Amino acid sequence: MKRGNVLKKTLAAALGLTMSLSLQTVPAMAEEAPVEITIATWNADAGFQGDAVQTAIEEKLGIKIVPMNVTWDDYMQKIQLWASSGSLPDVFVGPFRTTATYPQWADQGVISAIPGDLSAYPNLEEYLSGGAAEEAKLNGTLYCIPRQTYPDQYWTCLDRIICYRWDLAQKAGIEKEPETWDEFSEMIQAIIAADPDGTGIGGMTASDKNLMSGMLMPYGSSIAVDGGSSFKWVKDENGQYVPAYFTEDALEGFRFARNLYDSGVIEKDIALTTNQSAEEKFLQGSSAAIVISGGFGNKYEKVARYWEEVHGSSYLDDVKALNLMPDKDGNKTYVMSNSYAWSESYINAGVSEEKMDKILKLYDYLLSDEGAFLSTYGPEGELYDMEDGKVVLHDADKMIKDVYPSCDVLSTLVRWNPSTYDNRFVAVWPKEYTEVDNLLVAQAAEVEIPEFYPECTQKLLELGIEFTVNLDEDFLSIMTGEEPVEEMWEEIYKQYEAEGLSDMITQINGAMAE
Amino acid sequence: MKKRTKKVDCVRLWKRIKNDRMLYLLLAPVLAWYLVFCYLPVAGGISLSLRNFRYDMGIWESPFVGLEHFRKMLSDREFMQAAKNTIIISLGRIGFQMPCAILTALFLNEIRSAKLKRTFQTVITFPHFISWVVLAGILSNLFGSSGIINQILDVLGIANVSPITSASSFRPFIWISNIWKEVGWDSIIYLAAITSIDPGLYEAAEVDGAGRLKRIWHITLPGIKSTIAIMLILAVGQIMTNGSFDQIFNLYSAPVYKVGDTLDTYIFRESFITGGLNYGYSTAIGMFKSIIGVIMITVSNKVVTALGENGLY
Repeated sequence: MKRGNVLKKTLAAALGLTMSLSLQTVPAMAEEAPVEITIATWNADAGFQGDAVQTAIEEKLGIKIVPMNVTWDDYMQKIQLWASSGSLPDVFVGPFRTTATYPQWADQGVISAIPGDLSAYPNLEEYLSGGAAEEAKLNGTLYCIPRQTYPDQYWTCLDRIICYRWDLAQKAGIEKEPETWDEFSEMIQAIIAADPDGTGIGGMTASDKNLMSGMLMPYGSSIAVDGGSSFKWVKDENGQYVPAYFTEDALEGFRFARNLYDSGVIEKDIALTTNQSAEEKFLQGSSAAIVISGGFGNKYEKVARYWEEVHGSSYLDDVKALNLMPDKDGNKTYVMSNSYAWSESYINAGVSEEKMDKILKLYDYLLSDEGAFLSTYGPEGELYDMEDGKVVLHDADKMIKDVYPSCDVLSTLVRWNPSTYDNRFVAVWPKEYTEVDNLLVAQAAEVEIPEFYPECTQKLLELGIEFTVNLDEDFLSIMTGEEPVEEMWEEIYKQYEAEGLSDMITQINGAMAE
Repeated sequence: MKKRTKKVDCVRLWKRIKNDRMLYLLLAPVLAWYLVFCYLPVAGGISLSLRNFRYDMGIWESPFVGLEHFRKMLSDREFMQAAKNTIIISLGRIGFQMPCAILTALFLNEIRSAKLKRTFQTVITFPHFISWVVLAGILSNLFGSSGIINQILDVLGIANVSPITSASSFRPFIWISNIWKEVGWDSIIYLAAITSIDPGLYEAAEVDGAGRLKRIWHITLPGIKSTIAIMLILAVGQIMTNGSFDQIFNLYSAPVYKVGDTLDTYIFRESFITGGLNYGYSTAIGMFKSIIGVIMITVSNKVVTALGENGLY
């Protein structure tokens, strides 16, 4: 009996001890459980596969990244759909700051304001002290983290460049690299007529059909190149502020594009072109030129590194980047878009305080030296070394993302192209490609930026005026249209009038006068 | 007295349901599907079409604006253009596709060899099962400016035009490609109707010396008249939808918006590409489409029944 009591007491004590121990461990385990952060960015599925770089960052910050995939073809639709159904991921990226959607989301509690006090995240605080963040504020509050792309306006010349087949041009009898649009036009027509490789070569394509407007509109006006709500404003002869898009200069850009299209310089099916098909056509020798974005090296991964295999010659010998071309007045020009901070990161308004802290820590870490180098090049010593404080890649021909897929996503989550504004970084393609970009940038630095009024654009966003310019749609319709340019533009203009163009201009002028 | 009859009716109905419970059970999922996906959203749709949608207030709480969106439609040139395109494309489908499907059914019915008939039917029905996403890629490769068809035309010295990006030939291209894809499938229902015609009628006509064409004209066509009438009512009811979103969305581009942008594609672009600003307005366009659809189906049903044919109800 006594023995039974002892046994009972021992068992009870053991149970009690076990329970108290397990209760004590519960909070400890809860603390260790990583915070799940859903992130929607381009090719997130392929990038976030749990490689060593991703795992290292997750472990360091106590987070678990859950990818929500978007592609270049569907990101706008997917994000809009998620927003309308209340199923946005915790973090997502996209170019919404330049549309009326941004103030609407901010006003209607879809996206979270970035905390004013970022002292706990010093790298992020410093990053957001730049001009891009200041411009993105709505009535003094920031609702996004702009993704810096270039250090200055003149770098946006890299955002739309033409790569053309110089080898075929030479075979077609062209001896001089084109310096004017007429020479370029003659060269492309000569290549098509001669078809030196017998590939049935066609006119210029584009890795995204919407790149065409930014490439060709600068002929008329280098600042009439932004659609959405971020279109630039100029003063007319009466001193009234008007969108540059609705001036005679812009019409000149449309006329110019139509001429190029009608003369066969631009491929007839440009409106149907998809990203992949255009790059494939250029690689296979079916297009005499291609419009790309992000600089000469940006197509290294998908085109240039396969060139020798397909053509048996070097990409750098066969393909040239078109120099900056003159506008209608004969002055060199380029696309002066807002894309020196193209697209932004947004944080879902529904995230908890803890999650917000983790997200900001992730951004802060990716902006720190340690995080930036790790997320761009992988662990030091494996694919790169630091020499004199600068990155030296072991093999520039080898793509980092082939080894660490997460680098492709993490390195561009907060910002693009650190190599263009931080000389410790190098581009992830061979340096010869960067040198081509540098030559273009040097030309652009000499170009005078026309006077425009960003405060009008800011007013439009702050007043919540829902007026948007469908630049790409208008441009493609007019360029490929069958009716005269002026008639088509008149029709489009009437539609904008019906949507409140004049009222909007009056409102902005009124607000500016105040 | 009336109350008692009602009670008797209810008892009878209940008895019938009980007797055929297995059939009703089979029907239940279909009814549930319609209820959940077609009827319940109507309530939300009506509410949203009368409101300015706000993300933070949702479908039921967003600010009420009455008929403002419907008024806006009247001054929206793009909406007007899209409505016009929708009607033209739909009428083209009714005018060209329906007769093609009937002719195909008549043609298949006249083939004597069962093996040959099955082969033909399989071949012409097959495209129906290919999605427009895949087909659009194939058609672009075939009919694009540098596609195979244009390359052949080039060799023959004929002007090179892509119907996919040409405003003047986009609509015919839509009609023809849809006929090619759907004619086999659409003809099945007419073939089924033809098989229900009494073979004795054909035998009698043959004895009387009627040739093939006369048999088709006097026996087959009158025999499938009511099926044609029902198919026509259904097609007219869909005049504002025309089931073409997949086809147009995958084939159209900015150069042909003027002739190819239908209400469905316009709603999509307004909601998810160009603006995404006012789901209330997009929903109002959807409601407008539904209202027109109901009116059209009612009118065509009335016309068909007035002509002595069986209607839908």
